[in-house]
Amino acid sequence: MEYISENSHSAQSQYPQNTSEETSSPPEEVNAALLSYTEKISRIASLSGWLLFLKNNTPKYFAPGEFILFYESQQFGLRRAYIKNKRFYEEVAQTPWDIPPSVSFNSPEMNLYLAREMGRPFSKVLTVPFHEKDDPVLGGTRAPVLFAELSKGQEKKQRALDFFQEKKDILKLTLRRALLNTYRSRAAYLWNHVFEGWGEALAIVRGKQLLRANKHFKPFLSFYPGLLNFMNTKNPFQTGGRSYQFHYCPITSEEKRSDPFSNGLSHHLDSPTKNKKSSLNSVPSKKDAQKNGLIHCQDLTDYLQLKEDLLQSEKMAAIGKLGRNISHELNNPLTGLRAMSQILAQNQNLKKFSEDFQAVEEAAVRSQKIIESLLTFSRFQKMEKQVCHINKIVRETLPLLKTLSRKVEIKLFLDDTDHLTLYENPSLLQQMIFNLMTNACHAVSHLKGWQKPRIEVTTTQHSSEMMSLQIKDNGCGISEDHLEKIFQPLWTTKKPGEGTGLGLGIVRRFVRSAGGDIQVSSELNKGSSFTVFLPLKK
Amino acid sequence: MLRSLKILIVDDETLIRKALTLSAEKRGHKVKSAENGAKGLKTWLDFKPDLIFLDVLMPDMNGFAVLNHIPENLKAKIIMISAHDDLDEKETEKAGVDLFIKKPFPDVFQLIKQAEELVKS
Repeated sequence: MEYISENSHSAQSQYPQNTSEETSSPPEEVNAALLSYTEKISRIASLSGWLLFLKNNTPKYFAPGEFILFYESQQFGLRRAYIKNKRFYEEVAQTPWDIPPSVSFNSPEMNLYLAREMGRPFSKVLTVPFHEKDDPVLGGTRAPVLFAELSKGQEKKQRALDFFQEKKDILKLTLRRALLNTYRSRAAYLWNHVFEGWGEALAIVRGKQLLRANKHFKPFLSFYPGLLNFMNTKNPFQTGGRSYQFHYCPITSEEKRSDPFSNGLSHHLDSPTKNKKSSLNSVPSKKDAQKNGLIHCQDLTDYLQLKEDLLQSEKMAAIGKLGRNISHELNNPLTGLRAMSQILAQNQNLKKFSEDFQAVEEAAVRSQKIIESLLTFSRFQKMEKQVCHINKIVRETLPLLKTLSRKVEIKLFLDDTDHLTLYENPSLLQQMIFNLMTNACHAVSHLKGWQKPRIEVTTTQHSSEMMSLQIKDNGCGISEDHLEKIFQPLWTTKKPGEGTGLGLGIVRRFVRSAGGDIQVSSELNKGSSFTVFLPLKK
Repeated sequence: MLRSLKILIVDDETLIRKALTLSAEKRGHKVKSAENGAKGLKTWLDFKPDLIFLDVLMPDMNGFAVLNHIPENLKAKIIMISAHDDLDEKETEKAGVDLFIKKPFPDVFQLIKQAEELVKS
């Protein structure tokens, strides 16, 4: 007996000691066998090992068949485990079981239960319950129960019962450890999965120490300099006892500023461009004065971009509505103006004013053309693609730039042969041209008259499938290091209020989604050239 | 050849009324005009025109409402003029409009000739 207690104790030192049941004092050989059994099983820590051990260490004269363990975990529900054909199976148990009070043999309810679960008839089954009151692993109504199929069991019934009764305690202890390991490793696996798989940057902090960070945290290291070493270690789990300190410690400095009435600490850091932010929320630890915290970082660039897009689109919709209203309102008096000047031009009494009246009519016509352009531009609501001719759209857009381009010579080299046909949204095309032309006008705005500010617009067929539209100016140009940035949203060299810096970003996005691309070449103080490639209508 | 028609012009824009009146009178027709829907209706009942130029958007009631109030026996040829291009064609036909012209019209004299053709048919 004392052998058993000693060994059980050394194998299960952190678990509460079970009081072993009293059995009749065994002869020396049985004691030795039990000792050896105990010694061997105490090395087992996994569920599959435990079942395999049973298979290999149950005496052959019982003719043991399958060993099936049923158990329940809070996380994973009812399960059953067994080894078949050298493979370990862990499955969902279909129905709950009633835990029998003690080791028993061939109970009809158990046989029936097993048959229902496993899909074949069972008989000569030994049932071993592993119940431990109030134990988190072995307590509850669905404590683990082992079913051992013993073909020769009937004849050897009593011996079988005695055999398992004797081994019950050590089996229970080792089963408990195996189950705990199973739950722990599954939980760790799930947790790991979640922590790494979480789409956002997370890091766990304890006092001054970084315990763990997931791979998404890397881009946010700039918030916490000094952590680079940590992030470069192969396995952030194994800190090897070293502690990685923050140069700027988010927790200890907050401690000084924290509200004495609040339990948790939190702080927020924003990157200079406000598109990245880091929040630290800490949870007070019950045990020690150390504060623990979770750092969550977000890259808000996409969100800000979306917000800006939405704002733009709302603005465009509002402008569109306004534009349409104004256009229709203006058309009325302009129609009257036009009609009246036609009549006056024909009036015999006013012959000498005939040309003047024609001029009045022409002015009215021009006004109406501008309104027509505005209507096309603001017809943003109808996001429909249609057959359109790029040259027509270029010509329609120019009147909208009359004021901006009044000192600029605009030369058009438009290939007017029929094949520059696109299948796209005409108002988006117009907006693209408008954006590029506006930029060109701004680029040359500083040039004096004698310097001859000039913009050239060229359309041509680039290849069998693509056409190109080039807008070239002889303005201030773009420096090399800016060239990469100009398409970035929110990037601009203009003063606030002059331009949002969204124009080229929108253009590129539109062009690419249409199946084309945009290229730029530029030289400081010489000029820039933007070329848009778009697919022709098939 | 050219018979003199009785033409009614209903439009809230002064210049349009004036221009259409002058060009129609030049062709020898008798013209009356009204600046809103209500006055247009009244004039219609009194004047009994052969042809009407009818604007859509007017302050008190729109062109379609005016058409609804016309009794059967006073039907005339109707030319609807409007700045809106998104009016439903079926709707206009159902209301009894014979011709729909979008503002701006390029030539006021052409317009009168078109109207004469319409009455002839």
